[in-house]
Amino acid sequence: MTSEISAPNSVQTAPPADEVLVKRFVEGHIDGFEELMRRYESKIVSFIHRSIGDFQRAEELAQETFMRVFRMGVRFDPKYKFSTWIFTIAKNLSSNELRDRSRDPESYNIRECDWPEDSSFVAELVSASTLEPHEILTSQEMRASIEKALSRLDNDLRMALVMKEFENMSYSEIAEVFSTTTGTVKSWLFRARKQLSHMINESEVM
Amino acid sequence: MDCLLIEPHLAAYVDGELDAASVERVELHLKDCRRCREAVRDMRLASAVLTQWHTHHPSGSVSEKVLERIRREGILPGDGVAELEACEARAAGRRRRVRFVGGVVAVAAALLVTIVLYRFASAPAEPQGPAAVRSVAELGRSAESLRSIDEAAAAHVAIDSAVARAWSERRPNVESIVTLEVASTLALGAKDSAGAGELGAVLRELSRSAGPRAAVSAAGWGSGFLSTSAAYADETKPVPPVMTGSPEPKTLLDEGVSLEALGDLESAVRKYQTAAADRVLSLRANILQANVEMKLGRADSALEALDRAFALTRPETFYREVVENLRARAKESVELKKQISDMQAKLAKAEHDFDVLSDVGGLQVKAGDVKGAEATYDRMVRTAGPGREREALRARLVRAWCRRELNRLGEAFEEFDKLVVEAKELYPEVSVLAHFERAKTLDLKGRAAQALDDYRALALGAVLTPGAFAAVQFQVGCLLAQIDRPAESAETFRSLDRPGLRDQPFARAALALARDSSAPAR
Repeated sequence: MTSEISAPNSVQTAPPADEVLVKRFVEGHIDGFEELMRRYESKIVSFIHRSIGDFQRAEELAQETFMRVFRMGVRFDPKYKFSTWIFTIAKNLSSNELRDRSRDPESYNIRECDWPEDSSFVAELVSASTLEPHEILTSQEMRASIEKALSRLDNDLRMALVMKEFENMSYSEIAEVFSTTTGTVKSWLFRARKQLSHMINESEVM
Repeated sequence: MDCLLIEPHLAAYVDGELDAASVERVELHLKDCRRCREAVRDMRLASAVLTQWHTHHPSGSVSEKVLERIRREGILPGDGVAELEACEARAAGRRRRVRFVGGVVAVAAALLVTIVLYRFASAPAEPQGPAAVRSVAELGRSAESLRSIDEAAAAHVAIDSAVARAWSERRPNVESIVTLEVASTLALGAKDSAGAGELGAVLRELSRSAGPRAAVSAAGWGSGFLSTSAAYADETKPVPPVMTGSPEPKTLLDEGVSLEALGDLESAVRKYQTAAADRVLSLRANILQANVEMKLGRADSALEALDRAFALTRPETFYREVVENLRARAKESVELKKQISDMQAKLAKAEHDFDVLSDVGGLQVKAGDVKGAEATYDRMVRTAGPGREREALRARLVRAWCRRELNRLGEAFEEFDKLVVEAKELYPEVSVLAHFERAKTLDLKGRAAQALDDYRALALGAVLTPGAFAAVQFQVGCLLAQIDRPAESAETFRSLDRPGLRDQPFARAALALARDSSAPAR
């Protein structure tokens, strides 16, 4: 059997750091900004979606996040990490959204919520080829359970947990986003997971 | 050491954020402390559960919209306009529709075009429902055949008053909504953007008191027409689609839709191609043709039809968004085809490689090539030997689903029906899935009463998870509304309002519809 892996025949240069790209677009080259959007679009949309629970709105707030990056790029201090900065903007926008929603809960109804995607289980089986039929039958409630449990956490706890679990951010990065200490982040993550596992163990939602 | 001193470090311990000395201290404590060991286990459990939490895949349109805003707001630094244009072109190329099923709203809206047209074409000669609604439907049909702007405008007025009557009875249904859609299209064709906007608003309002299925359609169409009419009203250029006077094209479009519904996709394509020669129908004909071409695995032809459709739309309109999303999907399909042919080349060497076959089938579905996928799953069914019973059943389920997507409803029904029985003993979950799809196929065949019975049999006879139960009851409620039994429909929806059920996605949707339908109309 021959190996399909061949040695690289050319030396590849490392992609430019985020901070270099910021400098580039601040100097007037839009391609730097474009590359940053390519790197972060999916992360920012997913983060906001998990934070506020509304996918369509998450895409709108992600747009706003990038617009702010674009407008305020000139003020970016390169001694900080770009990833921390953009997540700070996304976190602030998510917090504002949740605050506004809590003031006017009537403004948030099912039309703005995520509608169940398709009423065909086999359609789901086809689109998620790694799942087995019995997993398809439970995937709906698994998703619903997690979303419900997460929605019960305090906003800061939930967002910190999402940053750790899905974005793999370090404690110091999360602390920087929230302008707090790593000790507070440790405490939030402990409480968030404890509450979550309590809800699971109590079978309130699972 | 005291638990109170250790506890604050447990999260960091689980996340590997402690230094070596602290790790040692925590582990020493854990050896003797059951409570903290359980806390660590619980945190790991929470993390494990979260890995199951998948979100939607972003539509990929965020970058494009941001670049558009930058251009619109004129905030580009330096001399970057040319660069921005290059970026926009790249962003458009990157836009991807990742999930074939469900997903992007605008694509669903495009499918709605098919559904609504299908319902219109296949509606019974004598529509069901109260008199006012019937008259709306009749007016809609006759208005559609009108060929002059004046006649269309007059019909629009007549439709409007009939709508008012239907509204006063608060009994709108799919029929009246289809009629309103036709009327709105006519109004747009007649350059009556204000009229189309009004009708759009009526559609949206109707969604508040319509049955659930109609509500979803009405809300979508209403918003679409409102935004389209607003964009048309803003435009200074003349509106391109103008009535031509030929009675034939509408018939051709209807025939195409009917052929598609009968599963004769090749003939449907030919009808749409002919219908596309008519300026009024061209946009819809091209969209419908592209949908069919995709299913037949001809993404290149779909792309050509969509380019023609694109040229007929205006920026920021409902149809523009529909066409753009379909174009992104077609482009993705073209790229996926290369991957598929590479894998098919592998298959030529290893005829019975189940895993490769499964990957090819999955990619074909993702590319929208339902016909190709059907052939692949068929091959899997035929080549599955002993020990592959489970895989064979799975492949049969997907093959039947493909056949239904290709509108071969009879064949799909037959396969689902067999699977319900054959899988019952050893693979009950496959049997449940097949039962659900069998009922859905009956619904698509227009046999609402039988579908209702089949769903109810599933709810009563099988052990279902809460999510599956909610999905079944959602269908039952929708069908009851469809056959004009609104009270039972609302009761079915409300029955999902109980612990363990009410948070399931379909229960949430059902309860929202129940709330909407019980809300007083304006």
